[in-house]
Amino acid sequence: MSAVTSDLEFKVLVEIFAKLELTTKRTEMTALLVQLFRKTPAEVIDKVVYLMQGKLYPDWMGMPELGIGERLIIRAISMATGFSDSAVEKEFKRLGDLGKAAEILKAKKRQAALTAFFGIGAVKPLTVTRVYSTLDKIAKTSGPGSIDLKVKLLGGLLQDATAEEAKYLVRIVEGRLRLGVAEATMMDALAIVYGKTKLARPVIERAYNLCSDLGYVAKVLAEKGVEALKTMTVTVGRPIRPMLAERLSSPREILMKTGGKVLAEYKYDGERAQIHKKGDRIWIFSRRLENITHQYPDVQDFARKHIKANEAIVEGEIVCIDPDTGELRPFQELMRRRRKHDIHVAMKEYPVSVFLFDLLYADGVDYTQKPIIERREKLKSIIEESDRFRLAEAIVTDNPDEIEEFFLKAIESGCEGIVAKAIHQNAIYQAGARGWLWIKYKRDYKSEMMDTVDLVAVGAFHGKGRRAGTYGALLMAAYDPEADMFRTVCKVGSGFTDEVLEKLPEMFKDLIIDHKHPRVDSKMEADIWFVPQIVAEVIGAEITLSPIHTCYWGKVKPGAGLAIRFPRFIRWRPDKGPEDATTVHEILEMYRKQLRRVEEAARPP
Amino acid sequence: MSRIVFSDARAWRYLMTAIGKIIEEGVLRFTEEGVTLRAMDPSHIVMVDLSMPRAVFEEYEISGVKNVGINFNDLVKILRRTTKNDRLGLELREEKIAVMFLGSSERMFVLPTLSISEEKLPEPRIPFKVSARITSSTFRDVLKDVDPVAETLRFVCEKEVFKVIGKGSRGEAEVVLTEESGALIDLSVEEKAEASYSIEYFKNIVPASQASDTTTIKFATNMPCRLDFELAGEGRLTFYIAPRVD
Repeated sequence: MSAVTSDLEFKVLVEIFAKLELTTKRTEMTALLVQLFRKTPAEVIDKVVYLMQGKLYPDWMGMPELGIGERLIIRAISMATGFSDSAVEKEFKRLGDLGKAAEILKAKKRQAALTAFFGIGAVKPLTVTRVYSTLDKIAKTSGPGSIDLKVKLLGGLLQDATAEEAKYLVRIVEGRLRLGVAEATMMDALAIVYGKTKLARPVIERAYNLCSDLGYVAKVLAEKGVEALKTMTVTVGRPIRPMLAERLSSPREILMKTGGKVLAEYKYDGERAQIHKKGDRIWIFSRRLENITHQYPDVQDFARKHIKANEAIVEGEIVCIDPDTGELRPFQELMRRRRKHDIHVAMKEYPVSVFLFDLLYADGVDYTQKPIIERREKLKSIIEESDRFRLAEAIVTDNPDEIEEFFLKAIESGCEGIVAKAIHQNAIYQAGARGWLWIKYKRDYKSEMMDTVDLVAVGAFHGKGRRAGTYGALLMAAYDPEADMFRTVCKVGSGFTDEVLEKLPEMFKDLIIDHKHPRVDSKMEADIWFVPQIVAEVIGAEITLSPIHTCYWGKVKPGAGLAIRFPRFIRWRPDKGPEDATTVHEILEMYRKQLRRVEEAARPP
Repeated sequence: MSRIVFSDARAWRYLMTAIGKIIEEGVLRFTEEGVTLRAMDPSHIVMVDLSMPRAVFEEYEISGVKNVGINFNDLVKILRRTTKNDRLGLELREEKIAVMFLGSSERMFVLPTLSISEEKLPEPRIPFKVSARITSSTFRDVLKDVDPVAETLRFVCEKEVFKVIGKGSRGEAEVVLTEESGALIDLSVEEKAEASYSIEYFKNIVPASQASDTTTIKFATNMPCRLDFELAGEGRLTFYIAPRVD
C-alpha cells in the first residue's frame, strides 16, 4: 500500500483566500468554496475548514493556542527573509500589516533556503498538511526553549512559502485571517459538493449542531457521505450548539405564538452552561461553546454529586448567590468572580448556584428530539435537587395574567425575566437555532435607584446555615401617610455585618408579636412579626414592579406593587421614628423619575 | 547489549552542544558501521551531518540498526558534567539511553529516548570553488573579531587571499587570511568566489570547533557554505549553511 496520502497544495487555499477577500457577496463566496472543496481530498478537508476559520481546532476543545506574538513573528520573518528584525519592524510600521510586510520582504528575500540546493525536485511546495501539522507543533511546543523552537518552525514554513503564502501564514498565526466566511456559507458549499440534492444541507447542519465541529462534519461527509452524517449522534464531551430564544414583549403575544400554553421559567441573570457528565468526568461549556470547566470546580462537584445518571448532558444557568440568604446576586458579581486569579478564592467570595432547565442526553438516549415536557420530567428524575443545584423556577400556564405575575416575581428575585417555552409534541430541542419554541420576555423599562431610602422593619425570616440562630432577612416597609399603614417593599438580607447580625434578635426582642401588626400591609408571610418601630437605611439597584410587595399596590399596574431589587442594608436610623420613614409616594416618585428604556446589553442574550 | 565507548567525553560534549544549537531533537542512528545523524534545523537554513565510523570508538558493540531519538538540550545538560580525562560510554536500552563518564570515578545518567522519526535528507550537491583549511582557534578568532559589528559574514576568495568581511548596521570589519601569514593551512581556489551568510548560524556552530584541531570551509559564489570539523580516525561533523542573497 502506498504511504502517500492525498494532500492539497497550500497555494490553492491561498488563491481562494485572496479571492474571498475581494467579495462580500454570499453567493460568490459559496461558489469559491465549492471550487475549493472540489479540489480538496477528503483526507485534508477538516484541516482546510479549520484553517479557513483561522484556527486549528474548534474552540471548545481547549487546545493550546499558537502562543506566538508579534515580536516572535517578526523574528521568524527575519529568519526566513534575511532582513534584520528592525528592517521587518520598519516595514510592518510602514504598512500597518505584518502579513503584508512578510509578503513584500519575502519577495525581496535575502536568505536562501538550503533545500534550494538539494537538486531538482527536492523543494516541495507547501501543502495543507505541512502547514497544519507545523502550526499544530508550534501550538503544542511548551517549556524551556520552546520560544526558539516556535520561531524556527514558523521560520521554516515562511522559508518555503511563496510571498503570497507568507502573507496568509502570518495572518493565520496572528489570528487575523478575517475572510468573513460564515459557517452557514461553508455548509452551503459542502452541501453542493457532497450532497446530491438540497436536502443534504439540513443534514449537515443538524450534524454540526450536534457536535459543534465543522471540520469533523466535513471529513465524515467527504469520506463516508451524507448517510453517515444522518446517523451521527450526541457525544458526551462534545458540546451541542445551544437552542436560542426569540423575544416578545407581552404575555398575550407569547401565548399566541406558542399554541396557547407554555412552560414559563425564570430567566436567571448568569452564565448559561451546558454540563456534560460521563462517570466522574465533567465538562462545562459556555453559550459560545468555550470550555469553561476549570472556572467552576464547585459546579463540577455539584454535577458529580447531584446528577443521578452515569452519562448526561444538561443545561442550566450559573448564577452568583448570597451564601447567607440564598438570594440571587447580579450578573456583575459573576464577572468579578471571573476576574479573580485564584479560582479557589473566587469560589469562596462569589459562590454560585445552578438552575437547570433542560436535558439533552441521558444514559444512551438522545433527548434533543423529544418534547420539552418529557425532557423536563426526565431532568427532574435524574437530578437530586439541593439549594445550590436545582431546576429553574417554573410554572405551566395558559393565562397571560399568570405569566405577567410570574415575570414580575422573576424580576424582583433578581432574574432578567422569563423564558416561555411551547409545550406541544413538536417542541423539540432545536440545537443551534433561534426559533419561536422558546420566547424570552424581558423588561423594556427599568428604574435605577440613585438614592437610599429609610424603611421600617415589620417582620423577619429565620436564618439558615451561618445565620442559624439569628435572622436571615428583614421584611421592610415604606410609610403610607394617608392610610397610616406600612406597606412592604423588600426583604433585605445583604449588607449586614456579622456584628449587626448577631445583635438582631436582641434588638427586636421587645417588638415581637405573634401576628401581623394591624398597621402592616403585607402579602408575604414573615416567620416573625414586629411592631413597626425600627428604621434602617437601605439602598437597592432598582425600583421594580412586584406581585408580592404592597407599596402602591395596583396603582401603577394592576396586580403589582413597587419593590426594591437587590436591596442592601446600610445602617440603622435610630434618629427616625417609623412615621419618618420614606413614604410610598416618594418611592413612586423615585420609580417614575428614573424609568428608562432598557438598552440591549452588549453581551449575548 | 548495545554499548560503545569513546575516548574523549569532552569532544563529544562539544559536538552535541553545536548540534543542539541547530536542532532541538534528532535521531542518532547506530549501525554496525558507526554512528550518524543528518538533520536540518526547522528554519531550513542549516543542515547538520555527523559521521562517526566505528573505528573512532574504543569499544563498539552494536548489531543491526538502532535509531535513537534524542533531546539534545537534555543530553548537553548531562554532558556539561564531563571532566578532562573522562571517557564516554553510551548504552542503548529499551526506550532509554545510558550516558557514562568513565574517569577517576564512574558516573552514569539515564535519559528517556524520544519516539521521533528520522528525516531522510539528501546531501546537498554543491560545486564548491573554494576550500580553505584553518586551525580551529583561527576560526574562533575570526568570528570573535568580526562579531562586534557583524550581522552578516561575507567570504571573498581570490587567488591566495581569503577575506572574511563582517557587515552590520554598526559598521564593518575585515579579516585577511593567507597561507603566507600562516593563518591558512591549505587553500585551493578554482575560481574567484563571494558569498554571504548570517553570522548567527556560525556562532551557533562554533562549539564544535573545540572538538577538532582544524576547520575546513568550502563555498562558491552565492552557494551554501560547508564547514567540516574532523576528528581523529575519520570522524567528522559537517554543517551546511544556506547563503544570503543580496
